[in-house]
Amino acid sequence: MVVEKDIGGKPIFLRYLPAGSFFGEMAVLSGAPRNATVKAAVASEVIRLKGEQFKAMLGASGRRCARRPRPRSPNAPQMNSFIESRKASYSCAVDLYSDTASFIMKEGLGEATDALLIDENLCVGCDNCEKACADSHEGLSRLDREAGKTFAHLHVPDELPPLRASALHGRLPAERHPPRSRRRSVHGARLHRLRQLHAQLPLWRDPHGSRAAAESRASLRWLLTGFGPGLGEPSPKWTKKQLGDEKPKKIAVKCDMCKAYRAAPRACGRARPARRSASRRRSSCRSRGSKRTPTDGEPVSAPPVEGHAGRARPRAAPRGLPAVMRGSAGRRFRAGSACSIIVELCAGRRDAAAQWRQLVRLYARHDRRGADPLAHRARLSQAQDDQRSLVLEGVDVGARLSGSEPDRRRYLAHGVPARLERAHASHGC
Amino acid sequence: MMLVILSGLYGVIVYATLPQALSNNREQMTQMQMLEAIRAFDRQLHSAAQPLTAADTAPVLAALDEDPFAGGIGARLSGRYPDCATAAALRTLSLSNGSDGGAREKVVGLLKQKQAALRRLRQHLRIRGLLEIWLYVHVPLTFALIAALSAHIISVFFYW
Repeated sequence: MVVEKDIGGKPIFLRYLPAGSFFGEMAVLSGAPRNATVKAAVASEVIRLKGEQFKAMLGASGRRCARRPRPRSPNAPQMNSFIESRKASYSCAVDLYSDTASFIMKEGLGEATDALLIDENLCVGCDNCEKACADSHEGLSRLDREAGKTFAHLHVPDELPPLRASALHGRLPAERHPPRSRRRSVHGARLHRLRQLHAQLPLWRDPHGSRAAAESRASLRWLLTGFGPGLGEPSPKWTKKQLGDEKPKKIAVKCDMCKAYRAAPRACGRARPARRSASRRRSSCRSRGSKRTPTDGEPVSAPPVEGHAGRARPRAAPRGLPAVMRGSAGRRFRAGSACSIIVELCAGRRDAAAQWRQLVRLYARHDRRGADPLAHRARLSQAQDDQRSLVLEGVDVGARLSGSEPDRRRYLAHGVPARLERAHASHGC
Repeated sequence: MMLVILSGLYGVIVYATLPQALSNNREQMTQMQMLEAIRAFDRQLHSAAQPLTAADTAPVLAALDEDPFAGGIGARLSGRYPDCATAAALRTLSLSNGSDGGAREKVVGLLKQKQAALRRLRQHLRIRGLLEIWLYVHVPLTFALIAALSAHIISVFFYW
């Protein structure tokens, strides 16, 4: 349909009306004379609804809704402008009836690889979904069911609260975490908010979260009566034994994106734009063959995040790191014992252990000095971490490692000085 | 058996209708956000009630001390809180003439907002309570019925 208006005796084109649209409502609602002409541009099928019938239908609808408190009805110009604005926002007939689909797409279900959509007409609010999530993620739920946006009773659970300084024992200034940092993956790719369920998040947890999950066994009593610890909940007896009178602390925990990184509790900061831009700078330097080293002012040289070894705290043992890797246990890393240590570290994670062994073979094949991946791991840069994640994902980076020793050295020269490096150096490793 | 059937009917009706009401009531707010909203009103009330007289301040202080979860299971399921300190303070201050009019109106406005927030939270808790209590009634009754039926069948064959 084509909407035209006679101006100065000539028909002036105003706009097209897509299939499924409507016209003539302005005169019905306001009673004003019609001010435009609508012509069919193509053979069209049109339904005519008489004004009296439409008003009678509105009146019947009003009687049904009379018991509900209704907002003050807008005047005719406001209603007209509202209708016109709605019409203007439609690009095709589908948009007229697809507000729900638009909401879903706006929330990113078109891009997300994993999404959770809750029909709130059916959700009874038992929060067992959060408990199941906690049960499968070492006692930590990544899901905050109630938070998030809802449209037409379709609810898209939101991500958990953003990182705060207090979550990292006050070591991380809050301004280091701009909101958009939560929208990047470890590779710098833009993440959708639904994927942020996998982002690094702090929660009120007891410091033995993973062990608490191991102790969590949904009992028959919980199943039958609802009392006692359920899914993802440690028993009060176990919690009391572990914590005593101590209150649960707020700590950062690992997420799905970085849980395989055993060498440091990188539960935060990996997706920060500052680090990402630094990584890009490193990449650009590498491609140009530059010898530039990062200055102290750059974020890459002063990572404040726990486990990333800020220069200000060189000797502090990284929390959450297995004792065998801290150096404080007095153990030295030997090339021959690497595999046994790795297997020990990855106990219970056979897949991770197998991937580590694969990595060992890669290093041993291409760099003898790197045969001990744990010692080498201490000097891995952020970009190398990302590469290693490619290994974990099944992408063979052996080709990149082979014949790329200059690149690797450049990596090390431009890499993040990890805290472990100094710890090992102090122990003569 | 009749109790199980009746509670089952209750469950069917409640689980078909109340989830939608739960969603409509919270309007994208979480339970924690509801509580935080009430706390925010409490903080504003505390500062706004400073100019009031002692007689007008007492009900406001009682409203500040009020526990939104208090009231017992009856109040939780019915959604009626006759001893609500906020409502009592609202009534008292609406009828009072002792304090400065501007300050009192401000406190009354805040009390109304807090009452609306409390109403939303209590409705939220009520709906969740109505949904949850079915589990505590129907499931044990069902197991008791199964046990009784088993005992009945076994005894029938035993004394055949």
